[in-house]
Amino acid sequence: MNNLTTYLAISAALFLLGVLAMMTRKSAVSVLMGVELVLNAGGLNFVAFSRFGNGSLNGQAAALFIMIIAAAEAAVALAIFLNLYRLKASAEVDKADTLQW
Amino acid sequence: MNVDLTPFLPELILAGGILALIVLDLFLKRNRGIVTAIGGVLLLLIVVVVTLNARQNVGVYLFGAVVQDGMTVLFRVLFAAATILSIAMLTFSFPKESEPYILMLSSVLGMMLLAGANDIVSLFVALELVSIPSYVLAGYHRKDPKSAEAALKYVLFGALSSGLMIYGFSLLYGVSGTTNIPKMADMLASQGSFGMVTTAGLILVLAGIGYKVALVPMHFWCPDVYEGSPTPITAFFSVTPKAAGFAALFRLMPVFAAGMPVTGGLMTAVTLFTVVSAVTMTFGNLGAIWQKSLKRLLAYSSIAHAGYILMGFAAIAAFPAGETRDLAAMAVIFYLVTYLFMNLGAFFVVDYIERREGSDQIAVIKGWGKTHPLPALLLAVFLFSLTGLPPLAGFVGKFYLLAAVVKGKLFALAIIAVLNTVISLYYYIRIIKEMFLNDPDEATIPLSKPTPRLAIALGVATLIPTLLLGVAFNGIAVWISSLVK
Repeated sequence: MNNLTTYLAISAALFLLGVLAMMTRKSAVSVLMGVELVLNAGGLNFVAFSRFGNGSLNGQAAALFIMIIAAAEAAVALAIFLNLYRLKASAEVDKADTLQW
Repeated sequence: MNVDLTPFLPELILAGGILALIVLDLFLKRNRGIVTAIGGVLLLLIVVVVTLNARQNVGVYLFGAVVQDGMTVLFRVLFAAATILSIAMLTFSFPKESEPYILMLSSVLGMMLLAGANDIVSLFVALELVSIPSYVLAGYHRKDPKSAEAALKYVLFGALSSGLMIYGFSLLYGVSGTTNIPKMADMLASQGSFGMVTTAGLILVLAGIGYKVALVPMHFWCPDVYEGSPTPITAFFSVTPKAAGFAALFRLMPVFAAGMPVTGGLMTAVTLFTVVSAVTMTFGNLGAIWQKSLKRLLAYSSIAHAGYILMGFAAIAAFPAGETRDLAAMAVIFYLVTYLFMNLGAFFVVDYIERREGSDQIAVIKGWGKTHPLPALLLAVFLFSLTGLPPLAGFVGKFYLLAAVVKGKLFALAIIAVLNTVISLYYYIRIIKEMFLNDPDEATIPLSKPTPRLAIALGVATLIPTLLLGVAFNGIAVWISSLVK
């Protein structure tokens, strides 16, 4: 089980699930969860390549940075969702349709 | 180990200054916004002086994560100039709040780091530092549903694109085994083509950058965010983060050239950039034709301009080194400089119109040539310059870009760009016709709101470079060429 291909397959699956969640989910929070999956798929790739690929530690450091940035992004995104919820009593993406074309 | 921090001086000054402004803000009772704005402008001026002083220190620092060269200097000065104008613009809308200035300066700190990023990790972190404060800025009018919605769209698209980008970077790291950009380019070049994985990684990275600069198909957020955000903030978005995205693309060009070489790859970088550039400019110009809101129209026009600028990158991809590359790099930077002044100028006038009439619909400026001749004339000049008519700055910018594209032997792209200029003339002229050829409605009595004089002063401050760069372009072009080599 511990070879590069396994990890790459898992991260590719995470990536696809994340993109799928972003495209199909209506709630903004679920869309954000999809985004977290995609970001962590990237992080998993970095760690896997670092461990099984070439042995450089840069990949591990990159994964740390990705986690921190994902947290910062989630904090700002949740604040924006909360504000929209206060105005519209809904945090669904397809209710945000004031601005079109 | 001894770490030399002198190349970081501009960023350190800016970061320290932002913290100082936050602390200073605690002690202010009145004019919080104005004081912070003045502090921010002074800070940026100091950064420009320090950057220009250090322009001879060329080299790679901090274990290869940061590079200092002519391109870094040019982009830092460009970001600072655009931000100073945007901050001045912001003081009308937010004289009592300091937060928008702090957020804007934080975003600029990210751009300054981005200009010197030489490693995919530092590039990604800098790009996120540009983005995250922008999300808050887009939603700054908390009680306005439009602004809240703009922020929602901005943050969701932004998060998606940074996810795609980091996945692309992880694939490139896997293929090349390094996070350092020049080393990555060398590895990719020496390994030959890696086919699918490299190509997929590079396309995902371009998608992430394409979101920042609004390239089709990553442009969906752009018109909505531009319309919903407060106008001075839209003016900032339309220029500075776009320039930052192109700065990142400049750094990544060697990787694109090595990973998608002119011969032998699945898809060449030249094809990719040419197609994206042609589609982007055509889509932007066609979308702009139908718009009734000035801000939305300028949003579509800014998509088209991103397409024009990407032409320069197609030329760089065709000839990654040598004379054509230098000409194209110069053309891109020159275009960004002219675009900075003409686009900010156009947004300044739109902000004035919005303040005066309470709306940014094209219908409200009917007959402005008679009722408000000065702003109408200013807007006309900026729109002619955006079209690319001589003797204005936009013409020279477009001329250099087309020269680079022709030199890169991408004749089809040059023809598409010229045709697009004709389309763009149609919708820019429509605004000018509305202002000068139509009479004002008798029913609409001009509102007696006070004229913001600084707005007109700023309009003039952007007008002079727009006119000057159209006639006296040689000096600045030579200066830019000397720095991009």
